[in-house]
Formats: sequence, structure tokens, C-alpha cells
Amino acid sequence: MRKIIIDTDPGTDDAIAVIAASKYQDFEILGITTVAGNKGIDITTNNALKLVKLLNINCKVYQGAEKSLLDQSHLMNEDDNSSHGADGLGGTVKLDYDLKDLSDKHAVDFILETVKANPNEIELLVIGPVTNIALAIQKDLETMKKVKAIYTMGGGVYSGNMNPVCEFNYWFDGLSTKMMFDLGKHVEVHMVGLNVTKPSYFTANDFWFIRLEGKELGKIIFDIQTSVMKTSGLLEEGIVGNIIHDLLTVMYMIDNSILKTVRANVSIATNDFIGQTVVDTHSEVTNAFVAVDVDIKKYKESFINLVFKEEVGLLYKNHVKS
Amino acid sequence: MRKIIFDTDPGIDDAYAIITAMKQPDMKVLGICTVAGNKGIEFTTTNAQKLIKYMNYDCKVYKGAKDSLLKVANDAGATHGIDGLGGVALDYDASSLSNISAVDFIINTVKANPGEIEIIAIGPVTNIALAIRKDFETMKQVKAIYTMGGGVYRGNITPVAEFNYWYDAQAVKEMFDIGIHVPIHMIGLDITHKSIVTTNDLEFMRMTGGDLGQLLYDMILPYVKSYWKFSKYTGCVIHDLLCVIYAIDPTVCPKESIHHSHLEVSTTGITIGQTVVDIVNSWKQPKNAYVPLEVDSNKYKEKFFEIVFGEEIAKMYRKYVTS
Repeated sequence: MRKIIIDTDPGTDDAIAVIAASKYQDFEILGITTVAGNKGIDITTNNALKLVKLLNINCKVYQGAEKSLLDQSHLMNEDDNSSHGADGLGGTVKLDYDLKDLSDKHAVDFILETVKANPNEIELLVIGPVTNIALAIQKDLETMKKVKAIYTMGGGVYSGNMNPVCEFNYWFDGLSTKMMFDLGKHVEVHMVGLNVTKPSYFTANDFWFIRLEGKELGKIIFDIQTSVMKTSGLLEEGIVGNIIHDLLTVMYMIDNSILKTVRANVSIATNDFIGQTVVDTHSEVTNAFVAVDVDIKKYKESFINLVFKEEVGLLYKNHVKS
Repeated sequence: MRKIIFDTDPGIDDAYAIITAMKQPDMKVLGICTVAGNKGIEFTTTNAQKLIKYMNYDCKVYKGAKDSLLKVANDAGATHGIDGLGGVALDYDASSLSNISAVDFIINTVKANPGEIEIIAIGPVTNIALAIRKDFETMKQVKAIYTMGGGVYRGNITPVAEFNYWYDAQAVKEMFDIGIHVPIHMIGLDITHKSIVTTNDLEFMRMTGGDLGQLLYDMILPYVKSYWKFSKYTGCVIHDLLCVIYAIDPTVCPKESIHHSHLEVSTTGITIGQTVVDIVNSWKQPKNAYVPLEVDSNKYKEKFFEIVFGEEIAKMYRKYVTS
């Protein structure tokens, strides 16, 4: 069993990523740590609790940073529901949660204690702004060097969504991002950026298949994703579908062959164009594996196979034209 | 202005077709005649009235035949939802129903507008046959008939028969008897099944089409479920819509694929409702049908978005939607 911690700001795409991670038998999810990003910390924590209950995940939620290190929150428009809806899960799905699933331990302490207790065994799936990771590094660098690997959704190679060169998670906390990649000298960091997530969007046909064959969970995935499809897919990206950035990260973590990566040196801009990933693929010193190409068909098929039954995967493979 | 009479059994795909015709600037729908088919006559008549009210369109509904000529068939079951319009809640005004029968309305209107009336017949063609029986000479003055039904190389209700024609095969036979006088265009399953409207198309419509887009989307969900169940693709075929789009712009079907041929329909036995189209003219019989066998599916759908939702949305559709 691989021992993982999910650090996340759910989020319509985070939710699908957590669903996928929870269905993978070789993952032991030790905890879900939350961070502000897609929404404020209270909402992202609530959403994490909802996912724990929905998926019956045997772990607790640990609330983390409510602000990024440079605090970009004043640049955010709180009323912007275009990507995640008012409640962070698209606004159309009603899910319950139990407060008993919320630990009173802080996310940073949980990460440090868990790594300390399981040196070189813990893999971090980091699919929100990386503030908690940076705070953990600030607090105890030596322990964080004993993380086995970090899979992070963010950045991009010549690709952006906040502006032409910056991706949201890294833009939201450029300083933390820099600290995480500095740790990349000691720990394997895998960066899944917009250059691979953008082309691997799910189409409305895919979502319909999931709804038609996916029973209750399929309907929830359909509702979460299609509720923001107009604003975040059609109007933002010009696609009839939606990009599920974080899902690609977890699917790659499960099956490395979904993405082609190169070893590179990733530097983070912290002044102009804050959060931009400057990816040097010719550097002799490297701090990350950077995804540069994606097998879209394999990615989507693996997801369907993982979350639903095998015969559903076959139906998808044989009958759905994305 | 083209003068149109609809003969229809709404029906979800009928609704798409009627709404599209109502939106087409050079078409005036003079009346909607109803027939039993997808549902019983009371349902189809009420549904036609609902469409008139929703579209705020100035024409009346004329109730037609409640039974097919041979009185053999049942309706299309749950394909169109319990009410025939996929369960969407729409009102209607009782006053939109005329007390003139469908057959009389057709005959009177053709008589008053000889050589000008085009009939779009997207249900079983019982009313057309009854009108021909009642006044053959007048019906010869129809300008053209566009009929959804039949098929050359496929069926749906049986391996060789399509639902509308199977439902009243005798009426189909009598309709094609005037095909030597009146151009009859048969939009059959060969091309409707090449014109799949995908769930990508439908979601695009929901996202861009405002209230009407939402209504059409809600209405068609039973189709999507049934096409997935029986045909295993994410989308559906909106048969009657293709019939109307072809009537509006026949270039959606390549000219060389439109066969002017002799057509015969079976009225008995296991082949009842089957259309046999003599494409190679081996029978040397008079040509009574125009039968297109190919369709440019993207052009068809672009046309639909252009007519119903306007040029801007059609442009977006062309740009963004890969079906």
C-alpha cells in the first residue's frame, strides 16, 4: 500500500481527484489537508468533509492555511463562481458532512508528524496552492526531506490561466511554490501543469456517459462538472466540456505512463508574473519531473475503469466518441 | 413566403421540427394537423397546442385521425415520455384548437392556395391519405410533401420498417400514389441515422440557448437515455428535425444522393411498412418519390443552431463543437 496525504482546496476538479484516489486500492489515504484557494478555507474544509463522508474514506480532515504566504486573496473576486460555483462543488449537489471527521490538529503538524513516523514512505498529492507544504518546510525542513514524492498540480510550460503565463494554484502562492521546488533537490517532485491538463478535458459526451452508466456517483460527478461547464469550459476555454486538472495529477500518480515527463529545473517567478514556472529542460541540475505530453485516451479510460466497474470501462472504450 | 402545413404527432422530435419551422423567416406555418402515432390523438393534439402557446405563434391546431387506416398499431410507448414531450411542463389555450378537422383544413387550404402549399408530414400519414380519398384533384395541387418515414436499407420498429410508415402503411401507399403529380421527399432512416445529435451538441444548446435551449434540452432527455440503452452512443437522432431542415435547405443532402425513383410500400405481412425504392429503375415504373441517401450531418446541425438560436450561436457552434 502506498501511503498518501491529499493536500487540497476542493474545488470541482479536486473533488473528482479525491473520488479517484479513494477508489484506488493501492492507496492508503492517511489524511486530507485543506488549504484556501479555489474557495476560502472554511468552504474547502467543508467540502473535504463532504467527500470523506460521501466516499466513506477512513481518514480525517486537517484544516490548513487560510492565507497564502504573500496573501494574494485581495486579488481574488469572492463572487467569482465561474469555476467552482458558490459552494466550491458547482452549487448543484447537496452533500452532508460529519464534523467528527474534522481533526483539531493543524494540517502542517499532521503532515510533519506523519512524515516523521513514516520516513521516505509518504507521498503528497498536492492539488491546491502549496501553502501547507511551504509552512511544513519552514517548520521542519529535515523532516520534509523525508517525503517520498510530491505530485503537484500547477504551473505549466508556456501555458497559463490566470494570465498567459501563470496557473492559478502557483499564482495564488508563488512563494510557497518556490519553496516546494527548492525541496525538489531532495524529494521527487512531479509537476502536472496546464500544458498537459488543458488538452485532456472531458467532453459533454464523456460526462453524459458517466451519468448514464455511473449510477449515483456518476450523477454526482456529472452534476459537479456540468454545473460549471458553461463558465469554465465553454466561455473560458472554448470547449464543450471541462478540464479536470487535479484528476490528471492523481491518475498520473496511479499510472505514470499516462504522462510523459522530462527532468527539468523549475524556477518560480516571485516578482513579475508571480507564480510563473520557468522550466529549464537543459539544466544540469534538476528539481522536478515535468509533464510534457499526455495520452488522453488512456487517461480517461483509466479513470472510468478505476471509478466504475470493468464492464462500464469497456462500454466507454467501445462506444463513446469524446 | 412559403406556406406550410404541418401534419404531426408530437412527439419530441416533432416539437424540434415545428419550433424550427416557426423560427424560419421565409416559412409561414398555416396550421398544425395532428394525428395519432407517437401518442394517442388527445396527447398529440394537446402537445401541438402547447408548442403554439410556448412559441406564441399565430396558427391553429386541427385535430386529425385517431386511428390508422388499418387500425393495427400501438403508439411508440415510453420513447417520448409519458406525455409525448419528455415531461416538460407547458400550458396551452383551449382556443388554439379549431373545430375544423385536419382533413378538411388541408383540402380547404390547398384549394384556396393551389400549387402553393407544402406539407411537412412527420407523423403517420393517415390525414394525407384521407384527404386524397376525399378530394384527389385538390390534393394534386399540393406544391410538395416532405415526409419523415421509411428507409431504404434499414428499419427501426422492425428490421425493414420505420415507425411512422409501419403505423399506417396503407396511408403511405395512398400518399405515394399522388407522387407522380406532387414531389414527395422521403426523409428516411438511412439519413436520419447519419445525423446524430450528440450530447456535446445538446449541452452546447443548453449552455447557449437560453430558455428555449433549456426547454429543448429538458424535453429530449428521455431520447438520450433510450438511445444509450438501445444504440450505445451518447446522443440521439431527431428524425423529424432533419425533415424540416431538408425542407428549408435541401443542400444538406448532396444533390447526387437524392434519388428520384419509384417507391413501393408493403401493406401486409412481416414486411408491412417497408419502403422499397427502385434506385436502379429495374421496374421501369413512374417515379413517385425523391429519396436522399446521404447527409452532411454538421451542416444540418449548424443550420438548426442558425435558425433556432441565431447566427452568433451558430458561429460559436461551428467554432467550438466537435460532435
